[in-house]
Amino acid sequence: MHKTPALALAAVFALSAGAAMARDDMKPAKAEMEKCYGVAKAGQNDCKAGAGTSCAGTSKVDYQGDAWKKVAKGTCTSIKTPNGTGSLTPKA
Amino acid sequence: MQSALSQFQDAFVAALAERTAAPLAAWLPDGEAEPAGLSVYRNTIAKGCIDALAANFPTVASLVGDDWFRAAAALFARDNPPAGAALLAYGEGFADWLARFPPADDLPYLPAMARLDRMWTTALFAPEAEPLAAEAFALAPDVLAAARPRLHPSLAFAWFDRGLPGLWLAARAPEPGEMTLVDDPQGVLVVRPEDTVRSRQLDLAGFAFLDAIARDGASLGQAITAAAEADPAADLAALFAALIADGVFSGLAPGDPA
Repeated sequence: MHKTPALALAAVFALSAGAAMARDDMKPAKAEMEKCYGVAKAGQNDCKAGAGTSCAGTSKVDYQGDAWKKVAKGTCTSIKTPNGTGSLTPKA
Repeated sequence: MQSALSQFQDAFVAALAERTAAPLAAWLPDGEAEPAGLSVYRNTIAKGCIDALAANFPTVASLVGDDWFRAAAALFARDNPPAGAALLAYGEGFADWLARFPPADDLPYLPAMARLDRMWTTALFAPEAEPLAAEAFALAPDVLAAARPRLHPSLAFAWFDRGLPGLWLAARAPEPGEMTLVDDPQGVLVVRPEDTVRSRQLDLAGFAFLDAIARDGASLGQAITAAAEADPAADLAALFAALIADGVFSGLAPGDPA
């Protein structure tokens, strides 16, 4: 920032202007979701299906207890599966 | 001393990979040199690899068509067997391999399409991190300029000397319209701030901004200056606002005021 002070100054103010713009642009709050364990069909889980796996679509059985799917907030524990309802924490 | 089971398993893998039952000779009944069943195993492995490549390189597959892709993928998989049982990220060397694959010579854009598909997959499996909200940047101008941002772990960006990112983005659209490859250089940004991978074109100023941070650990002030130098006509405020909205920042460390 030593080379061209005028440019640098303008650039720095652009940062503040950009930050303000980003705050104004913030989209209306998106629907709140929660991670729900034990409700996803095999291969249809969202990210993470237990230790050693990393991401979406990796659960091997229907309703795997340590695989989660994002569902609308507040609905998780009312989702009924053949293995009982969904859970906000991993199931055994 | 290897157990009898692991000896058998090693021989079995060798028999599949080398396409001959010779390594298994000691276990085969007399007179059965090449059991037909082995080709079922070979085929299952090949199909798994091809399916994984088709899933991991959807843009390449859509551009060359199913037959061409599956034939090429079969050749790649034979020379580059997966290193692990999970095929989630299989195909690390596929872009480089395509660049040396003679039938792809008249499709010079194809290796870049594979590289961009790979960037997308890598972003999908990157560690999770909370992107910084716009409020985190509500600082005094000099404090903001001195701060050193941390880039989101899933962020990848690249610069191409032709319009390959535009072609890739057009080909990935849910209903691809007209696809053109322009000669102008273009950049691309891929990031997964939450559950969904996002990608968009990046202009020269935006690329210079991110490159200064990723390569030199630049402060925001240094990075925005690099952007202004790369393209004096760039709208710097809009550039910064767009990157915040993209979720490319996951942290902000206070720096020494300049």
